[in-house]
Amino acid sequence: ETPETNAGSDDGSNGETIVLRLADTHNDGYVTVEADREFARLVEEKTEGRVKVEVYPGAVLGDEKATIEQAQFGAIDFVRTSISPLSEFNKELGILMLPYLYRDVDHMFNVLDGEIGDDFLESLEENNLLGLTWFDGGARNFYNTKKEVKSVEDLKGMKIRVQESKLMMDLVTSLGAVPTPMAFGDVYSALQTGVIDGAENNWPSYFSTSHYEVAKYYTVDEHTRAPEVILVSKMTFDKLSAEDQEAIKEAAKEASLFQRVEWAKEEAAAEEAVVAKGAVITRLESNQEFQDAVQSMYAEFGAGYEDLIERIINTK
Amino acid sequence: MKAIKKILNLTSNLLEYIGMIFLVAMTLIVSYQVFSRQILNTSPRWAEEVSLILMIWFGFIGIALGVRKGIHLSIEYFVSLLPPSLQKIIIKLDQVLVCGFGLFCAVYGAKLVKATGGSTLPATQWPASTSYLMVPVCGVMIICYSLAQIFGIEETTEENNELTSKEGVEL
Amino acid sequence: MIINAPAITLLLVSFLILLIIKVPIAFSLGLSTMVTALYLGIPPMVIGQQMVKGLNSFSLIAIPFFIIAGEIMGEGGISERLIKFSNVIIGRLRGGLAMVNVLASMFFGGISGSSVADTSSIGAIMIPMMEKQGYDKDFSVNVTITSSTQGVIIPPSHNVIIYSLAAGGLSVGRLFLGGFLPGVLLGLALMVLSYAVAVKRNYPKGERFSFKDGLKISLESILGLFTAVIVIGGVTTGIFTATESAAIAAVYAFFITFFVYRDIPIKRMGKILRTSLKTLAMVLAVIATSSAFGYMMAYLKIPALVTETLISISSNKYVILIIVNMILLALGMIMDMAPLILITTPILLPVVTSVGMDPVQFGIVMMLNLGIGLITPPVGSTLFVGCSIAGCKIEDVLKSLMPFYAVMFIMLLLLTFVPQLTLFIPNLIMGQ
Ligand code: NA
Ligand code: NA
Repeated sequence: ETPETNAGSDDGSNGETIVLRLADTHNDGYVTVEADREFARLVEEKTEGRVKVEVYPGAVLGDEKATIEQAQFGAIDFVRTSISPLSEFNKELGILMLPYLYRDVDHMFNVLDGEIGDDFLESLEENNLLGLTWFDGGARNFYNTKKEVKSVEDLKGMKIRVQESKLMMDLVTSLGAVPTPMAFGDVYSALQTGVIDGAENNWPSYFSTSHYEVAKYYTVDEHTRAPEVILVSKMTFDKLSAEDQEAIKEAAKEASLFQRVEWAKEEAAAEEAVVAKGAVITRLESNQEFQDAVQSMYAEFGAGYEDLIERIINTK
Repeated sequence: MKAIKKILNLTSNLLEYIGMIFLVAMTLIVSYQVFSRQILNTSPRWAEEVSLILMIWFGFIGIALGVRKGIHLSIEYFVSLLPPSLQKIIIKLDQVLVCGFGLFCAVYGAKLVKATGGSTLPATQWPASTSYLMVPVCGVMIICYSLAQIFGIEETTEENNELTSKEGVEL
Repeated sequence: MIINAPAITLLLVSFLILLIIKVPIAFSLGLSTMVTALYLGIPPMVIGQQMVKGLNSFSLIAIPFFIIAGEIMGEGGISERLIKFSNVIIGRLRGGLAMVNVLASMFFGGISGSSVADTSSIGAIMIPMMEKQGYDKDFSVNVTITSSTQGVIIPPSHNVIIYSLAAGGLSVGRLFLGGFLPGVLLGLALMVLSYAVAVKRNYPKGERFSFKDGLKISLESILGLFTAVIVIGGVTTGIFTATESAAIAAVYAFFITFFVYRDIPIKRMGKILRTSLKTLAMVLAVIATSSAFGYMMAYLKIPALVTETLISISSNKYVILIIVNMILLALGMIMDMAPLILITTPILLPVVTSVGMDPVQFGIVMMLNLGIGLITPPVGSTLFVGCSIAGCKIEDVLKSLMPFYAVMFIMLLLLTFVPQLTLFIPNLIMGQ
């Protein structure tokens, strides 16, 4: 057993091991949690054992929003979170979740790994946080119990379960469907009994929730990509030596590369699995029609950030 | 002494009414949510969030009221084995401890409200600190009510007496 | 895993000391968390945040609604109707009133999730009625209190919702359905035992009803029992969430009581709300502070530590499950249900799932287990209420209570080792 010292009272220079805590809402074994552990391993390796990172998976320290708050107070040190709750702290981040913003995953990471992404990571400083790196959160797609959705017209009037956020609800409304907020755990039986016609999620969740059993039509429209970040509490970070700070930043970058590769594998495996179980996958030749339908959202949610959106779209 | 007692009774009655109103309001909002989804085919975005805030506030009102009315669950068995004089001392100590927790909620609750003012709730876009508002308020009320107990100013409203005796008969 | 032994000791020992010196459970949880946070140098704001987080759950809102619905029904004359209804069904047998007592509690359990409420409303009518017909006092109390524990298991049950939250958001629908068969089986087992005692002690047969009277009584009480149908139907079909169906049930109970039954004036609603508020204050206070306590346990990795320790004692599934049940029974003797569910679920659930038990099954096992705690001394609220209604001492009923404990233990073992008893119905209706 290693003696524990608390980050809150440790300046990192007295030769003791510093124990830092990382909170994740996903369960043990999930790709992102694997990446968290890889991050922990890399930190320990790069700091030559001076800094140890303990991973707390399964939301035991709270949901994403609660753990972000705890990092703000300095109660925990790292948080793995989707940018969706983070945008409640920093509105500008909402831009990164605009529907049909990225051409594909490579486009997204070219934006995030470049100047735009770096600016965002640093902009969290005013929230007493610092972003370290970007993880892949996958692309969200629509699925339903009724029929193959090949055009916007096909979605019309369908009751689609969404998370309770204005952005997602407006997206569904813009496409002519009826947004229905509902707790995640209720979706399966609601699909089964016809209370809702469909929902939307990324490949791995579509598979792991078994929603494919009751809603077999999956349309790859990739409407939203909500990237994820690893955050560090600024209170923690400022107490570390410059050397350890650098090591942590490097470890985060390397862990994110690991995560992206593993995530892609996970997506492919999930796709293969649902197809084997009878899901009908619809790939759109072009999602231009969908993009056109949501243009008004760019005016509303992107107001004041026109230049930024332009820069994102023009990123190669 | 009388004046303090009157004020305390006034606040606890007020809290009780607010709590009851919150209960009714939650019932109505959630019922409306069902109606709206089933009949009007839309889901009001604010409904869940507002009923949650009512729930949180209601819970904290309940914590404070519970101190005033002495209704919180405790394990009485072990203390009941002691001689009465010692029991009295322990009860006072308990009241001091409860007061201490009230103080803790008041101080750190206020800090919490301040610290979370910068973010918003997803549906209503109200400040996230709205959820935490009742922590310091409840803390202050716990301090007042437990101090009253320490100095022997218990609640004895007529309404309350009538209530308990009635319950005793009816059960 | 890094183990901070001093902090773990501080958290648990300070909690125990506070409990023993009669600090309210909610405050014992809060204070011990507070002391540990200060010791560890964790920003104390987190405790406030976690208390709010404990209450910040939409499915939790079902609890006030269920409690109000139960309170309205209890005040508004449903108990008398359920007793009459049970009498129509089963009263004519030997020891009829005893079995009526069990059956009425089974029905009452479909409306209220509180064993104390059941004992105080059904028991207040049944115990005097049984005594008048020549039943012994101890037996009347035994039947009343043991059968009232059905309410905790038979859906709807707010304790089940508390468990679903403590277990990290388990499906309330599955849990409700899971409690159905065990609750009914427990009732049947108690009826068989009552019959056996009735034959041995030569208790009288009950009354017979004419078909017309029977029909009228049945229709009236079925109207009240329909609350349970709304809840279970709504939750399992997904038409309503648990919270929504609880709200509808409260509105329905209000309507039936004040516009159909009309036994009590509408101004009694004030008293009903006030009583509900008291119950809720107790429950919600514990939920809030145990959320903070749970955070601290997770922070110190206590659940993982307990799992590791128990698994290292034995890897045998049966041994582990027996140990877990014994822990719960022991704690249930001195503590109330809600705080126990909230404190022990995060610790024991990982243990039992690691030996392959389904979380829904464990929930129902826990309900029965802690239900037994409600009728065991030194701390047993249902036992106390039952004795105070009958006007007898606890030691007067304990001896003849033994066969009833035996039946409940056998049920507990069955539920623990036969998963299908719990899981069959939820799997049938809601899929695997
Ligand atoms: Na029940
Ligand atoms: Na007990």
